[in-house]
Amino acid sequence: MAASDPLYPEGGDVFLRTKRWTPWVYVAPALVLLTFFLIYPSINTIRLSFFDRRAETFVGFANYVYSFTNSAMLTAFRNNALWVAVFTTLTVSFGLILAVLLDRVCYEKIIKSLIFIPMAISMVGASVIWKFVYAYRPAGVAQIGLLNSVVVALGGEPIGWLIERPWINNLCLIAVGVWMWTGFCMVVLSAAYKSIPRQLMEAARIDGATEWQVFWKVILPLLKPTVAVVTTTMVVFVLKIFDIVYVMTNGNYSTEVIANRMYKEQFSFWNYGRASTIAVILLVLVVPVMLVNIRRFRQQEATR
Amino acid sequence: MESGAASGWVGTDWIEDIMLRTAGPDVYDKWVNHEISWTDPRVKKAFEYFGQIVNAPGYIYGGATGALTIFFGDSPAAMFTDPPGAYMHRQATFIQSFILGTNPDLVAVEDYNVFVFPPISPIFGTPLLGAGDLVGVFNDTPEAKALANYLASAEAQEIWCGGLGKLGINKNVDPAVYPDPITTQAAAMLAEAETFRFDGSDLMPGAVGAGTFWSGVLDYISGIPLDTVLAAIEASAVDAYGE
Repeated sequence: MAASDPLYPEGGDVFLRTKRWTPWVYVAPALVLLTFFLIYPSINTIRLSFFDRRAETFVGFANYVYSFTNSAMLTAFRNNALWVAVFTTLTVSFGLILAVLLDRVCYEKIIKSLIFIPMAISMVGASVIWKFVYAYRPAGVAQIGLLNSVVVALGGEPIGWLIERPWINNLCLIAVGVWMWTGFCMVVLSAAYKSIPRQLMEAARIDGATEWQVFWKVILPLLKPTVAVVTTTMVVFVLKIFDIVYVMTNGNYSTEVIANRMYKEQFSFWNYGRASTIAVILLVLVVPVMLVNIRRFRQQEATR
Repeated sequence: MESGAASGWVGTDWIEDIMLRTAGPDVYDKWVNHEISWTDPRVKKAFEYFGQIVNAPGYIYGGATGALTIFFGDSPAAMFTDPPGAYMHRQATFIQSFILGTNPDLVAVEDYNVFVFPPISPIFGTPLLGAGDLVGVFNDTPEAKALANYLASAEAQEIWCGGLGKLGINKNVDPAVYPDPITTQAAAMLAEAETFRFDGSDLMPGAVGAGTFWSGVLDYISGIPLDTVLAAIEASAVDAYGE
């Protein structure tokens, strides 16, 4: 080395000498696993998306053209947008409202546990439960579905909730997701809420602010970083939504979503090319949201 | 018609039975191999026949909504309520286990029985529609051939049918081996049948037979215009068959 390092007068390669390779040794097994199970499959999927159904002939962008023109895929895009908009809004707002309100209630822990319990079951389990809730039997016969028995008890006719397209059944599916994930948002936002110093809110109240103003002008701005993290987490999660749709309607009746199309193309239709294309599209949709998350995280780290 | 991820296959069985009876086995074969288009008037007529039955008021338990939302295994139970919600159910022989599962006290032949799907056009009579187990030989060895031939013999089929209640294809299978009178009747129908065709949606490529055909039937019952449905299936068929 030209310039001599005072710590290592004998010279030589700094990298090897200073044992800077030690961390790499520790990380190596994880890196190897990641390469095999994440990096290589991702690159292979991107490569396969340019091939035909048997992954033998190169077809260029034909699969991408199909994905953006096929009516089922377009329905899937529309539905995913609906899921992102409605699911995220509902889970975050319910989580926020519950976090703020439950703080003042004595049975807070019990209620929070009850709301959080749905997160403990699998998405498939939740879907099966809600499939029964939405079940239909003809009018005049005993209803086995919870929702239809309420409707009939109030004097109405039973409705086939999951077949009413295009909004009712989609909203019913989204309701299942919201039921499961509101607990998560509530818990994270509650932790953040409790870390706000009480004096700030008291000071605002003493200054004459109404509860509404305290919420919008004091609490919410302080919770913004947490709300942002929770929102981006929910968005990344809901873009990949699959289980609920697959179990309850399998994408029929205009409830199709992107991940379900990917599953169908791969495992029902055995079209390797198209399934890979849809996987790549999903990846491209999720990556910007993740980048926003990472950038925000870096900003927070920088301000510490 | 509901069947989780496979919803819609029940309707395809109906339409295949109707196709066999209105267009005949040769046209059926052409249809399954995509030698005729899905928008062909004969295919459209079969769908319309099916639509007449499903959408006619009072014909179906729960109407179109019931047809779409009730799980196929739960639907025969409607025949045994008091008063019955339905008197007839069209399904393959495996449905017995579902019937007896909900109502174990029922006795075959006394409480329920079976008859062949009626003819529609007198020319074509009553062809039978079914699925079956297929034996594949991967290496052309004498042992493999011997096994395959044995499996097709009456002796092996009697063991197979007696144990599992499946229908034997060898005409020499002794009718006494079948576990219950319903299966015996079905086996007799199969042995006497002049025409038999394998289930169409099983023969078609996955993108159609397990994809657009299923969802197309569901869409048609939900009220989507038939021409739109058939055009969509045809588009996916052109794509799936053309290699």
